[in-house]
Amino acid sequence: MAFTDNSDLYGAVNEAGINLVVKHLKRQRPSLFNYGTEFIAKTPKLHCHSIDADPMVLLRNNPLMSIESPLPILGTNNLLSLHYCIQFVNAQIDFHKSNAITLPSELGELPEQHFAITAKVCAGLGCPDDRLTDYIEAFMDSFYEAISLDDIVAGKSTANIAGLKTHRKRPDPITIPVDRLECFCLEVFAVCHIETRKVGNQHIFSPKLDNIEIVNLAPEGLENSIECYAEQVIRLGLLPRIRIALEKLVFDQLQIVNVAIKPADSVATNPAIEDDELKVFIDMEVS
Amino acid sequence: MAHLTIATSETAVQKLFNGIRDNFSIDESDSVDFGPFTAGYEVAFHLEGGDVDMQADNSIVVKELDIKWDKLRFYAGIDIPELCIGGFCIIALPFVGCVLRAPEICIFEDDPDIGIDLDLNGLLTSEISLAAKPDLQYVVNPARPAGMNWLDAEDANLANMWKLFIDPEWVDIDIFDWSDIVGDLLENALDNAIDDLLFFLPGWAKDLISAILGPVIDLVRGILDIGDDIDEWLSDLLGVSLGLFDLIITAVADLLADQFPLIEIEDPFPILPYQGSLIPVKLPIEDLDVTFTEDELVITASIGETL
Repeated sequence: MAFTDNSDLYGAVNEAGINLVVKHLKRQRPSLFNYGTEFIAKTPKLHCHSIDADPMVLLRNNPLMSIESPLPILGTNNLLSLHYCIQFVNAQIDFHKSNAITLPSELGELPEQHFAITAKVCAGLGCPDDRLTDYIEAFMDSFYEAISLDDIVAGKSTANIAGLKTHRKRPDPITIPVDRLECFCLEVFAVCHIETRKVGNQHIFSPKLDNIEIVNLAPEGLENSIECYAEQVIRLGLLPRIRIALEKLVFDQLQIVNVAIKPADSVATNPAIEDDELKVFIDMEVS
Repeated sequence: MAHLTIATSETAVQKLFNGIRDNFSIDESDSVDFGPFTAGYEVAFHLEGGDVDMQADNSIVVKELDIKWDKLRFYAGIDIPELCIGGFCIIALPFVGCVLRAPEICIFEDDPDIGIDLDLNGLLTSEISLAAKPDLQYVVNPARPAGMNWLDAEDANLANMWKLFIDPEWVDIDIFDWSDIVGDLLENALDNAIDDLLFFLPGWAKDLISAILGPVIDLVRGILDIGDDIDEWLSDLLGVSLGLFDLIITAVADLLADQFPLIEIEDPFPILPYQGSLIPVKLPIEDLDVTFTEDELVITASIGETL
């Protein structure tokens, strides 16, 4: 049986190929997979997971991490903040039939024409040790007015209670230095499929998220909240960027014919996710 | 197992072939003038007919592609300096001047004086058939110093390449495709005869008569093409051009095909360009393969583990 029995053109990529593409992308653009504060980015020994980068990344002084703002400590009027990092350690795809990823029981069996994604996400917070916190606490004490019981009894406005001392110069914001991060890792699993729709002259292949699961996270409310956030990131931030549009193309070798391509009508499921591959069947018209 | 598979059906290749054939034409003219010597040409042609056939032996055959010469004119001329004899005065009278002159004869007055003009506009049809196999080569850039890393090679435009050449197995060119030339002449003569002799008939009746007589002309085309078909069939069978001229053409086609790849794929292959100071992201391409089957053209490739 020929690949093109039901179409003019056929293209297929298997899950091992896509996983290798992700691997190369991760080694050559590590900053797409690793986020943290500037200090953490510059201090590899503090990373939650060591970053395996291509030697050229280091040779050209490319960043291992994307720099993010430190995490403010609430109630300090943005005077104090903490270092942190978030790292996407392993990302893997598994086209139906499922054999590369073992899905958690919550997601059940991988349905036909679907694919699974898993990613291990490690995050760490630069939590200072108690002695440093004691020192900073004393330092911060000197910036706040003590609460006067007389003021409360006198019915003064609570807006001025425990405010910064007005006669002292406001200090510059400080991100509390750390010599280690408190790290944890989560395993995220997602089940997705691909939808095809026509917009104008374009046929758009859009990956869609069906379900997401973070395993072994408690309490349930915390798990649901993090899953909700991850779902928003995937659905609103990631998937809209990887839609593939088929539209009229010009054969660029000879520049003398126009080749219009569209998904083949004679194939029931197009693109098809089967046999560990993503398959696309395309018909073309030449003018 | 290859990570990537791309296939193109024979129908798609035929569609592409038809599109290129129908949109391809050449119309060129030029002349040179070296004072007393002038020469020039006018050449215009388009393509018609032809068929693409993929073979189980990993080859593709293009059969009987007609080159229709819309213009085919060569001319050259020599302009010899004008030479006049006579015109001198035979009888001259005082105060009057010359009253009788010898007749003056000038030769080579035209420009050019001697010339040839070979004008074959609209008369000729040539035909080309060929078989070719894909020849995929991994070409290490010869200018790339040993030990140069992939990124420095990228910066210096010295990346290695996968190059797909089309290796002609045989080429058969009939400069004069007698079957089509005679066929076209007969068809024109038939149309003129119907118009002249049966002028009183309505257009649909003339079309009907043309349609009835059409197969006769096709038969003549077929009979005249039999010899050429046998030649092509044998060429296909033996995998070598028959005839000295075709051997020369095949050798020239081999040489040209070896110089000009059909497709070039950079290795490693770029998937993200430089973004500011961020280095490009590239994929090592391994085990690239191109195969013709009876039904389709199949290209497979794998992505390497390391750059």
